[in-house]
Amino acid sequence: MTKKDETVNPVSKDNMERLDILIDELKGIFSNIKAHEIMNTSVVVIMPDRTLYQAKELMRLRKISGLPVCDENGMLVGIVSIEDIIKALENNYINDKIERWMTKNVVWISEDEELIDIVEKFSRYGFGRFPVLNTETHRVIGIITKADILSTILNKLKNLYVRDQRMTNVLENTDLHSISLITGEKLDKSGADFYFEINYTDINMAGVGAAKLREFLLSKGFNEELVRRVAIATYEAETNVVIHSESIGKIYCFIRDDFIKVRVEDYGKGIENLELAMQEGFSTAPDYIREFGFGAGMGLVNMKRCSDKIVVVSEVGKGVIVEMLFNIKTGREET
Amino acid sequence: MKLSEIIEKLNLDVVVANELDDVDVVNGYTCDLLSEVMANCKKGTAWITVQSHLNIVAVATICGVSCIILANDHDYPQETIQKAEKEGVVLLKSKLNSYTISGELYKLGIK
Amino acid sequence: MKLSEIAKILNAKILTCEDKADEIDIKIVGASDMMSDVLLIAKPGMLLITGLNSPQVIRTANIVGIPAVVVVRKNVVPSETIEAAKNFGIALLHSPIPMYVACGKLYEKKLKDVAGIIE
Repeated sequence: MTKKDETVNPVSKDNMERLDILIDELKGIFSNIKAHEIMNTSVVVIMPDRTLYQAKELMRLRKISGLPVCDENGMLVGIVSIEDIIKALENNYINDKIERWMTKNVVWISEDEELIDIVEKFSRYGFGRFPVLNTETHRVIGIITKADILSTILNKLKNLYVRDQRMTNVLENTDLHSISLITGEKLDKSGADFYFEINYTDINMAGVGAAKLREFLLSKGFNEELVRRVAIATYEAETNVVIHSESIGKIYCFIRDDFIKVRVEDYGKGIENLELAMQEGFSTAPDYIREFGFGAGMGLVNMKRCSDKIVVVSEVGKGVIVEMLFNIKTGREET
Repeated sequence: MKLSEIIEKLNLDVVVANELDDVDVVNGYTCDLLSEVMANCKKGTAWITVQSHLNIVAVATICGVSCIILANDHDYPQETIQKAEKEGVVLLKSKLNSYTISGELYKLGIK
Repeated sequence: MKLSEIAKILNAKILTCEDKADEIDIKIVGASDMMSDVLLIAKPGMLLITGLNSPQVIRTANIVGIPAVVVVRKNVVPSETIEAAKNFGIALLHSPIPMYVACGKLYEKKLKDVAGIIE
């Protein structure tokens, strides 16, 4: 109870002042956000002479809910949404051409439009998405959904937080080598020569660990060819954790006299059929992941090709451990 | 250009053939992202890719591509072959990579 | 072939490392949208043609020692990708033409693939 009492009146005068400062700070961060910073740039467009069925398949593959329709010259002529698809399925015209049923009066956003105006457009029109057009060429360069707005705002907030966190970390740590100045993650030194925690929530972060390991090994003076093999294999293992595990993962690297050992582990759902997973071309990656350029079923093949020894251990529901050895043949380069 | 001529000139392996109809190939498209193929491929396209997943057959059927050319000496999984046989999609393969297959085809005048 | 010349042939915009465009000499080219495939075929010094515009492309390129990347097909390259290219010192080019056409045009100029095969 005593603890609770202390926080009964959080809005003291002092706190009010702090709140004002915070609001000012936030205003500075959220004003001036323009459409091109918010939009999703990996936008696919479809031509008006294609069928609604094609549009449906495209939406399914990309896990998206609407598609801008552009003519041969890339000019925006309409938009087709998941609602249109549902209507088409209900009324049996899914094989009709898109141009017949698309929304023709498209409300769009120019790349320089500001966040506040964009939010206003969402509430005024009630649409789920707006295409973003280049001011000069009038071609579609992106698309904005409410989710894009939300993630932009969350990212800005995250930057705020990370900036502060990182500063304290760096200040408290006199040894700058134990902390990454770019992402601020800790490098565990107990036992392993290199340690990285894999962020499994963001497919865009896949490969960051491998890139760091590469830098680290190069800084230790290992030759490029060896480092390349280690980096490729680690990249694949790391990507697997991000795509498949649904859990955090860890990369450890141990340097010994005649070999480098990399161990990548996660605590996720595991591999059901290891033998099948080792086959080239086999992949359980969902369709939308494949549209990011992953899940070609070459991951384990690449790991095998690049390492001198590889062991994969997995139990369904408990995770995967990949351990790889890379022989140091020519030794370290003389520096 | 007829598909048979392309198969011969590029020395392609035929995995699933369409014996009834020697289709025309009017253009080429190199892409490994199915949604991009779906959005951009036209009828009569030779589609060059490293994707061998089952889904390629559905995409090829929907877009009416003339053939799929699998690069880098990759193999089609059995299920892809079976589906292609059923749907009448021509599956070809080559030891060469996407860059060179595209280049060779482009040189033949297929744009 | 100089990267600046390649940019001209593909009608591409040079987004990063423009000062090095006359220095970078490209001898081999690879084209792919799949990251694993890039890792499989890439040789140091290779020019990568890809339809992906995410920062991973740059990370992948960095891992295998690719000095220059051309993003094709897409209308835009996001700023994160440009930032990543700057950080790693990788030359990034952008041309919205199809990958097939980009390959065709460079192949016509006798740029070889990773296996060095060309007639």
